[in-house]
Amino acid sequence: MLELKGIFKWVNTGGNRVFLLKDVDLSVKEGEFISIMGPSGSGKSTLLNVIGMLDDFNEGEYTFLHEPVHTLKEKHRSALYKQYIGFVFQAYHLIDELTVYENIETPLLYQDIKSSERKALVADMLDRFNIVGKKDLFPTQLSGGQQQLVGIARALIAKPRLLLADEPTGNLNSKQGEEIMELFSQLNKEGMTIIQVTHSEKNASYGTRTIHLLDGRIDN
Amino acid sequence: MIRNYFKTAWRNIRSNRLYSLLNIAGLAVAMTACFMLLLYVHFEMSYDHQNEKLDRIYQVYTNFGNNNEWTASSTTPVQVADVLKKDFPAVEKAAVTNGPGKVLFSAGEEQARLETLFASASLAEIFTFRFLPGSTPHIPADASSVVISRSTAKRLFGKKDAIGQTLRYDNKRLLKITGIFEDLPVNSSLQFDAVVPWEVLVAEEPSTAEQGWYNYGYSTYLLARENADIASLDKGVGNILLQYDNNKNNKLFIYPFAKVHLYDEFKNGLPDGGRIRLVRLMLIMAAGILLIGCINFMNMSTARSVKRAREVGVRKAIGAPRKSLIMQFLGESVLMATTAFALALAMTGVLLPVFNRLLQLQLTIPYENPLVWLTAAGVVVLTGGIAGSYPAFFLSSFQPVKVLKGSITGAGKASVKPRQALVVVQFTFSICLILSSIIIYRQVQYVKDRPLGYQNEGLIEFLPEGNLYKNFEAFRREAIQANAIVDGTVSGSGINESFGSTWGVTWPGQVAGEEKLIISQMATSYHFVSTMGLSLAQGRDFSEAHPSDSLAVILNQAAVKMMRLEHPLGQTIRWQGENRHVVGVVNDFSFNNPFDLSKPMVIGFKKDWIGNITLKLNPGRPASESLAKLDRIFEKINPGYPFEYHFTDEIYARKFHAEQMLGNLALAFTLLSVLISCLGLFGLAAFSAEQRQKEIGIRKVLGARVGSIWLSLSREFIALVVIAFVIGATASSYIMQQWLLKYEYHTGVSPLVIMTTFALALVICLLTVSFQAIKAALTNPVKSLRTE
Repeated sequence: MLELKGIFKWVNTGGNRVFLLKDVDLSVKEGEFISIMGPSGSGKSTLLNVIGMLDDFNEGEYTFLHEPVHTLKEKHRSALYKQYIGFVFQAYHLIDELTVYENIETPLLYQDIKSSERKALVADMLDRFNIVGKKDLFPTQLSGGQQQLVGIARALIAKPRLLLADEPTGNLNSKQGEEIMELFSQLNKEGMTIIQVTHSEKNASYGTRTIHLLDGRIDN
Repeated sequence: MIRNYFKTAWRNIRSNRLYSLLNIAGLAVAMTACFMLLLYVHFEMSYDHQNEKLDRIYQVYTNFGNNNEWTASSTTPVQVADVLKKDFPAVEKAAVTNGPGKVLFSAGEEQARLETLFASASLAEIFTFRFLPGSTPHIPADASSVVISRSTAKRLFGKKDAIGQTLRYDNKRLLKITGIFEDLPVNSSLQFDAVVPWEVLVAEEPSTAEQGWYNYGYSTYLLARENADIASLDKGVGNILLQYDNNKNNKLFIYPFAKVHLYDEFKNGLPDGGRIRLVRLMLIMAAGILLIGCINFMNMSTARSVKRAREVGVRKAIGAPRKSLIMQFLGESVLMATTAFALALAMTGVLLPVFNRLLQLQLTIPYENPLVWLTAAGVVVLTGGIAGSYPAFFLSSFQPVKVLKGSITGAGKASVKPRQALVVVQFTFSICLILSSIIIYRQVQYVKDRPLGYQNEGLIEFLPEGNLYKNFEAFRREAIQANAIVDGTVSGSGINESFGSTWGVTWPGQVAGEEKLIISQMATSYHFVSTMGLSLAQGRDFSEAHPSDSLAVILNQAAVKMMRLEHPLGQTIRWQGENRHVVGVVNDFSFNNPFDLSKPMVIGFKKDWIGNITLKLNPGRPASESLAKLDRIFEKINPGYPFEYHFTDEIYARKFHAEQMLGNLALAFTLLSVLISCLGLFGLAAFSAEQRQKEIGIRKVLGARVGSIWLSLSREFIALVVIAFVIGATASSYIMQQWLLKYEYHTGVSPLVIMTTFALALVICLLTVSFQAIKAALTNPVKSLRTE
């Protein structure tokens, strides 16, 4: 599905060049569930953002569904990721001013999907995650676990082929975390490709493959 | 999509009540001010537009030449209209008028002094007068008719039909009302209550018809034919005086009537702006105030960007293109602008009467005019656009990774510089206004405090009418005997105005060419100096004890100085074609423009140049009692005329009207702009305190006192005000210096004024900022640190 070859990313602080990613090679096949692990500052989130096209890299090649991302223009890239990638954040990042329903609906608005179709899609999603009763509540009225459910529903609404999750259970208690991970492995069984960043061995064990990062380098 | 934007916008407005309130209120106040100014501009720009043929109407002006200097005046000799009709095919109509002036009319018991214009019949064919049904719809051309305005008809006849009724003109002639015209709009240059046919004037004063070409006492209007060659018409008109009067000194020219109101000043015979400058100033003010409001809006929106940054990041991460975010933020600000507009409309409705009182205008909101709504819509979209543009482009440029990863505070800091610049712009404008207001007030006060040179307490004046021309001395004697007055005099004009000016005055030791100097004059008879309370520097007042005084003059000191007379008493000077001897010198006193330096004046004894009666009420008696007595004596000596008078000090006070209006206006807009700027500053201070909550908490834990925290929070704003002050004070002192130079008698821009402005700006700034700073400094640090 995607392939990273010799990816470098660095920032210059003072006179020094600090490497965030060093010569990362990674290939991900359709249907995999990959966990990225490593200590703080090892570049996990950076790698995830690079894969999600939210962040640039300085050197290397990145092919996503046969498209060479490193040569694409910004506009192409964002079209690509809008269509194929869903994001789940540690801090949920729901829009506080919108209700559950509206939060889930928002990505569809940016894809110019018709109102009737949007309604059907959002209703499906609410149904599937069992949050129909909460659709008119605002994020601040929900527990963390519920907010993350909404976050996942929002990531999935546009039917992406790749789901990226940056410590999706980081702000949750263990029971809530477990539920989310169960959901992820269920999604994976249905064919969704998932890449998650996590600190927890237990969460990593839900995946099909684990990648260890150390100082920006894949450490296997 | 749009609905989603509006929802977010509305919920954002609601969840940040304080910011939204400050934001919308600031914008609403700015819009209100802007609308009122635009209404005023509209009012001025639509002057005389009720005239359907306005673009073809011209007024004939005269340029008086003197020593290669031209002085333009809107008057002409009486014959010009006839010449225009006879000699110029390009002229469709021409009319001559005299006045308007007050004339007494009586309808039975009802009496009123009406503002009366004498006009030839063609006036109504040039200008548009709307005659009411039942009227003969033109100005009559006979000596027994009159037309009056609708409100005058109501005043004299109440609900009765006035058409066909007769009015007695100046207690003499009976005139039949043949028509009633709709009251002239407030913004019409021609203003009168009644039009009396030219034929009446000729019948009453037969000399009018045979008047020589030397009398430039009339107004002449013409209607040019469509497609007339105006340049060649003007050239032809320019030759009239040479052709008919062999006058090479003066020259006529035609001036578009559409320009008469706004472009009413001439310099050396050429148009030199006029009221249009005030209108332009108002437009600049309108734009400036709106800009301040917009700046506020931008400031607060960007300050809040920290809170919105996360939303932007999320939206971008789930696929929002930048364009749609820009649209979202612009939409939000247009929504706020619309809310502000609704508020501004209500406030304009409430404040317009106040504004009208302040400027002595009668502005109304033309709700029925679609153009007005279009303008308003334009202002809203423009305001929303300008005000929303900065946050829109700034916020939408956030990188989602950065804001989501918590380097959010950076977003707030990055916008600090432009925000500071905006605050500086705002305060610069406010400081300019503060300084200007102070200087305008000081200048008016400076001139008001200037010694008058005469005693205006208890002076009243009125026009001589009826028997008073012959019987003034009897009236005066009786009034003094009744203890109503202590003195009284007749003169050409009241003490506030000279009786025109003249040239051709000669004096001993005159240098060639000086006979062309223009000198103010006053025509008077006995008791002038004593009634007015002028102080004599030398010599004496005119007196019945000296029969030769009928050929005497009194000079003011400015005249003595100009004539370089070391011993003025007894010298012979030539004034109005007669050799006259100087019997007295008075100290300079104020007349005409109180903002001018003292001008030379010749006070000549001329019993027949009578235009004004001035009385000095008895200071030992209550004025009301004296006036009641005068009313009875007046009634006895001059029956049929109501006793109406003006206080001389009130006439004097009116001379400050324009300056006072400007002062009031400047003050009003100073307050507004300071208010708006303070709203903005308040919001920014609140934001700054919030952003530095953690820092303040840590400082307090480390032992910082309230005072030092207050200082550290206020310092940045004080620095901005200082910068704004330097720019604003420099700009406005320069501008006001120029303004002051307009006046011969003027104060300066003193360092004290500048320091006062600085202190004022600083105090305002500190008061605004301190509230937030002290609040932040008093917060329990445990609280702010725990929330982190």
